[in-house]
Amino acid sequence: MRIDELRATLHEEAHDLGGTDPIGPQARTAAVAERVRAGRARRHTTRVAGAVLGVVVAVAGLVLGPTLVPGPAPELVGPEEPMVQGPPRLAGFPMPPRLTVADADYSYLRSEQVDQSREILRVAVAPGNHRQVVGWATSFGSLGRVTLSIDGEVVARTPTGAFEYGAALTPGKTHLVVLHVTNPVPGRQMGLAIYGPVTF
Amino acid sequence: MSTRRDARPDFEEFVVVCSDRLLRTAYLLTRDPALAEDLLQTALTKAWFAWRRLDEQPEPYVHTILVNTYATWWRRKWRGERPTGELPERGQVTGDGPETRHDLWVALGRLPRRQRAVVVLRFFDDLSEADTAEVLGCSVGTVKSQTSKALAKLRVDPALLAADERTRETT
Repeated sequence: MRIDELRATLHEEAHDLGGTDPIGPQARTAAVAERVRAGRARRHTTRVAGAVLGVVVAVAGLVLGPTLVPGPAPELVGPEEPMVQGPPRLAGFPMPPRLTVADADYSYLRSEQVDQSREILRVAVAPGNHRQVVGWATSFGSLGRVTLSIDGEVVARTPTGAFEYGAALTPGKTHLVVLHVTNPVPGRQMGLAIYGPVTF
Repeated sequence: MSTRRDARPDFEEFVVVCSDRLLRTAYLLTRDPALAEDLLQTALTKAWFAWRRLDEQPEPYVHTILVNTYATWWRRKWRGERPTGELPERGQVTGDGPETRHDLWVALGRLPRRQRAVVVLRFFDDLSEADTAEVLGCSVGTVKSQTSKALAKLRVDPALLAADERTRETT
């Protein structure tokens, strides 16, 4: 393979664009304008929600402040863990409470974890009304590769020792999600996590 | 976009003039025409929000957004690429040029995304090593090593080795 062959191939493939005709610049400009509009709407919603939250906190402080300040501070009781807990660790990796996939936000729903000596982790996901997203992880120091299948179709092969996500589950259908490690290491973990659309 | 309170005619002009070239870069990165269009529109949308802060040469900036979006995008878009341990069945050798091009295109598809990006920027967009490093947000040394690794990987790719063998057999 020579560099000039490489250049020629890149230019020819780029010229062909996979045998398709690209949309025109006017249509592209209109499509971008629509995305800008949607992006602005999202930003506006976030700002409004933040402002409303700020007002609520301020009002609560004004109302509850005077009644709380004079009293003696109550003794700390109960667990020292935060009241709102994040997702558990998956194969040692802290899972994010939220993911963004294809411009949509998903929040953690549940996860399953097994020892790699099992080689395969199968999780049946009940049909949802909305699209769900799968995350998967294998412990740091695992060997080989990990394969993710959905309904018998391999959708990802990734290196082990990482938390990955992105495989989507179509709504309205039960899915069988299978995680398989090529070189299982007993004592190391493998896990699957399901994220659903953010609802608030 | 011109109906908005802050219309940006220079942005629209930029889309008309530059987006075709950027689309081709996006296609070489994604290898899927629909994904390429999606990637380009995503990059242009991000650029639109930053347009007022850009200088008179916005193309390098948009280029950077495009490549970086691609680099961080694989998680949401990789389902279009079906990894397989086996090479697709080959047809008969009918000629040198198209066959070699096809083999090279297949081999390029097997490069890791970072190396593919370096190859596209260096050999399609004709960026210097320094400019490539700036677009990718890495050092010139990294660009050199990624280029070297990519070319080495292409040279030992099974598709290209098979093509070389065919060439030797026919000569």
